[in-house]
Amino acid sequence: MKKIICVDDSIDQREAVKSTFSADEYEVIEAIDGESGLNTILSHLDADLLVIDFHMPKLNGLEVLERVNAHRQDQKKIPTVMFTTETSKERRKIGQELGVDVWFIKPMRSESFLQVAEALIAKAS
Amino acid sequence: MSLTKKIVVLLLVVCGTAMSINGILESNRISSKLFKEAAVFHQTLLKNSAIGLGRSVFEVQEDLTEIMISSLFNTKSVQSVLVFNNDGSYFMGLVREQDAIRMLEEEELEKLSEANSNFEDDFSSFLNQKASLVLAELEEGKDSPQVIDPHKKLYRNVALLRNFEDGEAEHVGFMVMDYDKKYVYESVEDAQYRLILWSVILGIVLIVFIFSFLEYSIVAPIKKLKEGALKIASGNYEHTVKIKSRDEIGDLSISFDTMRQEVKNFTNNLQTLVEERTLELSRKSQDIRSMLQNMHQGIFVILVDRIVHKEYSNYLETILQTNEIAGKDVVDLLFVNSNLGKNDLNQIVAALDSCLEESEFGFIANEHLFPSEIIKEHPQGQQILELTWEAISEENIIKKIMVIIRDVTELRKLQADANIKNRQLDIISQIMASSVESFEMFASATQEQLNDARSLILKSSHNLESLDIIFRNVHTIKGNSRLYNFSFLVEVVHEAEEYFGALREVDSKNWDPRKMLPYLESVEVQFAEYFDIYENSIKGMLSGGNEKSELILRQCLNIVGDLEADKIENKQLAQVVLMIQNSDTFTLKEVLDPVIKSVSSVAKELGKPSPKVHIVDNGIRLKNHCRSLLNDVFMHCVRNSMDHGIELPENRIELGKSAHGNIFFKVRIVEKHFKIHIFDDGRGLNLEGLRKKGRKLNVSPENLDTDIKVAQLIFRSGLSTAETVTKISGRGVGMDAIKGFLQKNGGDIELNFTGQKDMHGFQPFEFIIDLPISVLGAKNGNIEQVA
Repeated sequence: MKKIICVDDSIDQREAVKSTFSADEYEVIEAIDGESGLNTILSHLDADLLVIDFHMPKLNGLEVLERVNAHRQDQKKIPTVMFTTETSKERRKIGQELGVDVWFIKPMRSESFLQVAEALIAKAS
Repeated sequence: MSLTKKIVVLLLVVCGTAMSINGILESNRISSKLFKEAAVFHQTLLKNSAIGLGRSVFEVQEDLTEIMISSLFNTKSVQSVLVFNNDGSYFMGLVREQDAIRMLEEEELEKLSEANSNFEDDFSSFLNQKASLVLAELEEGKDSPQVIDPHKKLYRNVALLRNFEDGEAEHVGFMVMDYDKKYVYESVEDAQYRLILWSVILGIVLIVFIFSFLEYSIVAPIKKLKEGALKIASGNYEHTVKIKSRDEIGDLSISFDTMRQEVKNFTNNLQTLVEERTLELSRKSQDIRSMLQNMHQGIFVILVDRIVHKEYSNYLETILQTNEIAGKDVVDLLFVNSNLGKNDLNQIVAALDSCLEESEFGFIANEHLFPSEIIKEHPQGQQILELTWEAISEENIIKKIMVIIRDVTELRKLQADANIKNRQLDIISQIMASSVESFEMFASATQEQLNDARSLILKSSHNLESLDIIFRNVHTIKGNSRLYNFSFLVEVVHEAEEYFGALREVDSKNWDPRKMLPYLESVEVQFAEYFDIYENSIKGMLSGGNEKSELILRQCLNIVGDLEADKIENKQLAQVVLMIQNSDTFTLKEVLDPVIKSVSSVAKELGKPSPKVHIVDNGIRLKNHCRSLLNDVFMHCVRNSMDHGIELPENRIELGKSAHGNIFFKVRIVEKHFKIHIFDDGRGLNLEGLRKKGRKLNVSPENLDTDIKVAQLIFRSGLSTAETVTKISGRGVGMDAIKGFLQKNGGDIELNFTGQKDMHGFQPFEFIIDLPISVLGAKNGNIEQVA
């Protein structure tokens, strides 16, 4: 079973992610903000995919990733997709350094999301 | 000759030469040895001669002279021979003068003695000292000693002895031979010089020969090959190297030339290939350029930071109506004055930035945010642009995004026009397929039903009966629309039917015309489309020249009216009246035709084969204005029959029936009434099902006590015996509606059992439609004559 962590403060977005991964082979673990997201990620460093929003209360997506990276030791990086509504060169650069594989501009399309997610998971394994 | 052989020959020549030189030198050595040996021989001769004198020297002067002459001649190196007495005075002498030998005169000898007095002294002392020694030496057989004289002449002295008989010998004198040392050695030296000279010449000749041989047979060909190689290296592949020798170098030159040919061919091929490729490449880029120049599409490429690349198709300028394209931000270029809002643009910007110079997934993730069609507002009007977005990546990183733009403004307009035209054509073909008369009937009936429904909605308050009528009307319109396959209308009416059906079942107390009217109106609008097309496109097309004759016919019909032809005495006039009357009538078959046509599609929906429709009209003709009514009635009956009565083909075959059903229509006239019997060979009426339904609907028990009473339930509103509501019938409307229509027109419909109930509670039956002749108009006249 593939473990997918979804960190997003929007319930709609979480639902969308959950319905994308509704197949039996996936297990979606949710977190509703950056801080709880950080804890969730740290306790599931073996996850197959991390789906994380940029704008979130307390900690934004990149800050969460920064902290995850600081705590992570020998474990493999989790394939990461970042959701956002806007982007900038600087932010993408930081994202690249912190391990963001793909930026998704909202609103996402479920089929594309699943396609990219499956490809990322396959690539990592 | 092979190189090896040449080298062998060369070695042989060198060896031979060395051997010959050695031979010459050896012969020289031998000759000088011979010379010495000759001298020794001469000495011996002299000695022996001297010994052989035996007596006084002076006594044997003649013998001595002979010996001296032969000595002189034998050895050319001897210049003179002088014979001395023991006292050292000259006794006699011979000298070589040129080639002759002369004996010295007495005076010459004296002069010689005087001139050489010192010599004589020296010599005599020498002789005195040495005489015994010399003698001893001679006795021992040794060579006589040599004397170096002051004149630097080489002398050879020979002791002259007088031999006695007792073997004693007396020294009597000396003989001195004057050798020309120079002459002796010169001749030897000359020979040596000549030999050396010849050796040197031979050596030089040999060196020259060897050098030329090497030069000619090895160095020159190699040089030639080297030059050839250099020429080939410099690109001159035509230069051939010809070496005729039959050695390895000759072979090498042949191989070399083969190589040259191959290099030449290869280079030529390579050049041709390069030329071809270059040509191909330039043709391709030319093609691409001319494509970009000539295609009627806008193509351009977006680079990082959303910058538009400087290469783009020319037509892009036409489409975008600007030539400021290269280097612009794509968002400013494409979406200014477009239908996209600020939010859309922000999304596009973010999506583009998330693709370019990112992984290929970035494009898949955000591709859907790129618009595929935009509308741009221009002063001269709207422009519709169709956009296609493609990612161009290198090593999984998206480097560019290609955009293809087509101006589809005209296309969309044409498509819209074509859609309207297509729809109109569809409608026309649907109307034509139904026949014009049928459509007119359908149209007048539908118009009436719509008007009824509208006035009921507007005037009534909540009233189930009104709702029933509205529903029934809509249902009938739907049925007829389906019958004639007016597909656009069917769709709309179906929605209205669903709505009113639901309203009827909910039994809502909210009678809200504002909610009800839109459903009716949508039907009205759709019907109007059909009607308008009929009025504008078909009717005009069909009528044309017939208008006048139709008008005349109408007038005639009005005049003839209800005249009873059989009561007219003038038979000819009676016939005319009948003809005019019949012109406005139809046969049962004619009214059934569209019904039969629609039956096959109904059968298909039900998964049953098309039934056979049997018509027995007894030559009866019916008036035209009833056609629509009968149409509805027949359609309901046939549908009911197909749906409920006629079994599935497999069941029919089991029962020994034909796979297809049979439906019968019989018309007869009974006492100024038309009686139309309709029946089929199906399983009959499901009496038990009906009874259950009746109970469920709280029908009073006294109305369910006999089968015929139960059968009458099918004329009740809201009843269907089918298990599920099918598309064809089973909505509980139909027979009740039919009965209503007929009664409205002074007619009726009845049900009549025609056989016994079977074990499953099914009983065969027929419908009998009753209509007064006054309504159906025509009657059983001289049909055959008319026909």
